[in-house]
Amino acid sequence: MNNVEKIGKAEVIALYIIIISNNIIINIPTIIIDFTGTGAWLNVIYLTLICLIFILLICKFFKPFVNFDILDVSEFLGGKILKFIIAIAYFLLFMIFSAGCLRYFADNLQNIYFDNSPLIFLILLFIIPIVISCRAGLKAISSTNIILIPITVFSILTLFFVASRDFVWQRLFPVFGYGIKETFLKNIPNLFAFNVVAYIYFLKPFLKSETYYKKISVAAVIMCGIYLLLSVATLLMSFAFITQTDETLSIYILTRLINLGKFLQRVDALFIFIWILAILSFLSLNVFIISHIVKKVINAKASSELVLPISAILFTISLSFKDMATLKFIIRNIYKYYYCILVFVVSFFILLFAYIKKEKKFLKRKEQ
Amino acid sequence: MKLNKFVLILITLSCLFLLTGCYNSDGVETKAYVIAVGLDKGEKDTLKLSLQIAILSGSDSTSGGGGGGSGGSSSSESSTVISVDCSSIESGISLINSYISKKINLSHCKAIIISEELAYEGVSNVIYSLVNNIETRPDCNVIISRCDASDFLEFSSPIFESNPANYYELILNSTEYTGYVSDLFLSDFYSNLLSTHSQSAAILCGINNEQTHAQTSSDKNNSLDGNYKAGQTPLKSKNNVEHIGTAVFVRR
Amino acid sequence: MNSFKENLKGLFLYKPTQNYDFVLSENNASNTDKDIPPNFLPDRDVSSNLEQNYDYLKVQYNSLINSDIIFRPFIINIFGKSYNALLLGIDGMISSQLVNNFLLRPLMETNSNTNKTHYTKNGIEFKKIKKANIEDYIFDKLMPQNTIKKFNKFSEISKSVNSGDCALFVDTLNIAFVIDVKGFESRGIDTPKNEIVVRGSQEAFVEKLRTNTSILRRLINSSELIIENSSVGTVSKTSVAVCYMKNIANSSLVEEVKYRLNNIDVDYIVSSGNVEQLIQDNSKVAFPQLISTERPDKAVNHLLEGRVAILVNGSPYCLIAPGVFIDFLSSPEDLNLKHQYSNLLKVIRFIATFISLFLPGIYVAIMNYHTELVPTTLLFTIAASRNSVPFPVIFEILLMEVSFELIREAGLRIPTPIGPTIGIIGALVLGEAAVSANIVSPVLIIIVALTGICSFAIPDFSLNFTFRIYKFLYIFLGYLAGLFGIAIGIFVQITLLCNLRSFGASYLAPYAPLTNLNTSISYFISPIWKRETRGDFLNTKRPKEQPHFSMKWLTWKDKNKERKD
Repeated sequence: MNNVEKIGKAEVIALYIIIISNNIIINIPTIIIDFTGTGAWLNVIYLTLICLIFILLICKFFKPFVNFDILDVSEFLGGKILKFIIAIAYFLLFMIFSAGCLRYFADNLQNIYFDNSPLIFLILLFIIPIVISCRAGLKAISSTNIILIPITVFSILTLFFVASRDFVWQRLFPVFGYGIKETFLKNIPNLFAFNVVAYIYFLKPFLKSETYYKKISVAAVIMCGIYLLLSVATLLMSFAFITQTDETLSIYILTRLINLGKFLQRVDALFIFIWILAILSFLSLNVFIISHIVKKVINAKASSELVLPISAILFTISLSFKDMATLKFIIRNIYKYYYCILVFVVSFFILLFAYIKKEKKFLKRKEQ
Repeated sequence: MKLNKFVLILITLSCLFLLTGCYNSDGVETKAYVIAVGLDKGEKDTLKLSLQIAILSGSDSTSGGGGGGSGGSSSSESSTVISVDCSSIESGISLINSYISKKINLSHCKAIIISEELAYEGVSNVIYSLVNNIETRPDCNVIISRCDASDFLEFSSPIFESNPANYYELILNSTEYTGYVSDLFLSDFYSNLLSTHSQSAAILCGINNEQTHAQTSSDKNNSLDGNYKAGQTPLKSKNNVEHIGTAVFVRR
Repeated sequence: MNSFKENLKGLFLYKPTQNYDFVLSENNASNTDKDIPPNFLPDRDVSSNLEQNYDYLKVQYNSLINSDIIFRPFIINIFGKSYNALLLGIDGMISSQLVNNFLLRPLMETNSNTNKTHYTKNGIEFKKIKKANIEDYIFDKLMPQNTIKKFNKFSEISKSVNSGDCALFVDTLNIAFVIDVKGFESRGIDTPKNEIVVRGSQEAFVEKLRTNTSILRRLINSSELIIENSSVGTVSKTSVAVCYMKNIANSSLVEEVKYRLNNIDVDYIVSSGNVEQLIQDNSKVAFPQLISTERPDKAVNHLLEGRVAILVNGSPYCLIAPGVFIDFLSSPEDLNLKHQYSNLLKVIRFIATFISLFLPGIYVAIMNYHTELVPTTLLFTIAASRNSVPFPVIFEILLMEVSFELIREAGLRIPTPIGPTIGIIGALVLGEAAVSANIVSPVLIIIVALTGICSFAIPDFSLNFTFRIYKFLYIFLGYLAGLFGIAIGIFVQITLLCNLRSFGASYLAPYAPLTNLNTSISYFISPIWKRETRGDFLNTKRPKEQPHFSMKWLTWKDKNKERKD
């Protein structure tokens, strides 16, 4: 705990932004649209509010635990066993998501540009830089990230602005999509689009000072909401067909619409280029967090040596999805609920109970 | 340790270069760039696919030039048209690939020409497979031709441009100052096809010559210029194509 | 078998990382509150006790560590009495000849003609003893110099001494004589050969260490500049000077530099390039980690920013530590120009950097994988020109790049009068012939030429080399997996650079751990009055370069106006 690399405010915000940006790149808005139809944008606003309430509560419960992440808190509450369970649960969460993300992006890349290259080659090419950057540690990851963040954000915002020329407002209707019930009740599990929260649980001990933890977390959720809203709205207003051609990255289809004059009409490869950088940054953060979890469970001294086996596991898992349909099924029907239950229910209650326990202890000490 | 690293790097590099990648890389000159795709109703099959392929000047041997079996003859030096009867666009491309030496690439396709005949039967299938083809770009024009699409491709000989791709890019610039035609893209077409509140439309065009004048002179009862359909404009031209008017589709 | 086992173990066993760890804190937040005054010692009057003056001067000039300060205690005989005296000067700035012949000699010669004036009055010989005024006596009779000033403030004295004068202190006098014996070696100083600027000083370091230190002294003109000597090399014993500003540079940084310099166990060192390689943090990375310059003004700029300069005897290049990436992309002229001009230059230089590093790689990538990225007409032109070329793009570009490097290297060896011409003709003829023989396509010639030109726009010589190496790496990556490969290369490169430290400073500072950008070290510079702080990553003792409001005349004008109104 004492020799953790600490990172500053700007770096943490940049990490959150890269997580959010990657949500958009790997088609999570399309999944939301798939489930809620044209009601997606209302759904996103609604979910942002829910998530904000959650995050405020989480920050409140986290406050007495200085330098603790969720694993330490669960150890505090339920001993080693609970910590093990939670650690394995989060390990699976991050692993499946990163593997899915990697496979999904690599598959799309193969479809778009490398129709002759085998998938294993592309995934291997992804794994190598991830290993290198993870071995360098969180500080290197976050520093890299802060350099990549401006172009990533710029690329996505440009996309939204350029696409706004082709907006057809009528496509937002019907407002409630598949119905009020679908928009507001049935699709609460769409909260998995706010996967920043899982990282908020883990990045706490890495902060240089905990005073701005709450601010940053709230800002991250709000940014996530805005980004999702923008992307969902953009996709809804630009295409009527987005859910029917989800074979490729929907945001990539958006880039192909860019037509600024005669020369700047074929810039989609540049966008893919930037997103590769973003995905790499995101995945290396993920692998770092996974190795951090493993390190905590097995009491290893440093996480850097764990990176290689974990990347190997990531490599294997990402290759072991049978096809894109399986992957899509796993993400949409299993991972989504798993994420919501783990992050918004289990972890939340662990925090709540730990908070109560701590308060009780505190009161007892006071009485004594 | 030093030897180790060297060996490791050598192994990785050889793995990367020899075992997996690299063979995907085919240079620019090994591809045949399609400028326009023409779709007709087939005689022997459901579809007749015609591709207008750029012949890149500067090449000493004009590979796979005119003549040939399936009705392709070079109307101009800068491009050639090859047609084939097929069941779908993909299979048609594969068939043509067995005939020409270079690999067909649709990424620089500027226009999709659909004959009136085929259009009356419905185009959603064709459009769907074109939209889902990663190579075709959503900003290529959809054109409904009053004549056969393969004829259209052969007769579309640009007067000013040496490069037929430029011709397709520029010819529709007139939308901005005449209003006789509108610049409609594949993405618009497809969006409107699926939309609940709008109908798809496409550019109308046809061959303009004496024959078409004579054919349609009786139709023309109004002297307003805007009422000409493609091919009717009383131009004195040699078999050239013209773009005028819009074809509107109705959902069935 | 055994060695194989060892190798396997080496590959897979856990080894704790043994990194040499020296880290400077990222930001100055820790020591912003204490603001060290520009001069460490409070100003004082010259005392009439020589010992006191001597002690004061020792502290002021850090005589224990400073190598080029000369204290010369001696004795003056006046009127039969002997007075202790002290001569203060800076080696390299004063002319030894002048001092020896016309200062020390008259002072130290036994002054036989005392102030006893003999005269006879009425046949009787009188000896009149004048009232002893040694101040006047020395001034009038003992110093055959034209410019002598008398000061009694130490600040004034040190100002003159720092600019090359000599100060003479005599016991019992509460003033000091400041004598002009300036004698820089200005004849041997040449104009810079490799770092040419328009607006900037036109002098360069020379091979002689003492001359170089005197140049620094002359430009900085502060007694806080410390020049420490040490020697490197067990056989050659090359003298090396470490220069820094005592009240600005971070002391742990200075310690680190000295520690590394003093712990080099080699037989000999010939140039500063050797030293650079021996003290840099990471020798596996091709990027330069110490700034090396032949321009004193650049060195002075960096010294005043809080860095440490290392001068090596026999080498006209000054090493400056720590060097971060941004430094190698900025030219010494940048700070002299208005910020608009230098930012324009920086934009251009950024483009040049980008092109020289990535253009060939991107060309290979696009030609092999992303042909839809190119505008149709351009693509057709390229494809048409490539139709008759027998080689794949990768071979073509490697051929041309290698021959370009050949021309470059050969151009250096060809005797100077014909060198440049041969280079140009070689390039032209080779390119033209290659195109007309259909061995390469004309577009490629443009690419290679552009890359070559842009690589010369990179201000730093070492970085130029680095980019030339990495250029080939990116060509291979582009060939391997198109823009994807290049993206991977960039990512790994940035990560490795983020991990790299140069003397404790993060290599991508001030961007990678994001800190204050309103300094003269950030890539795009702000107006000069806005650059209030020194670089955060240098962690200096004096974080503020100037007060919040540096152009004081602005307020004075306002006040005048008010008065007029």
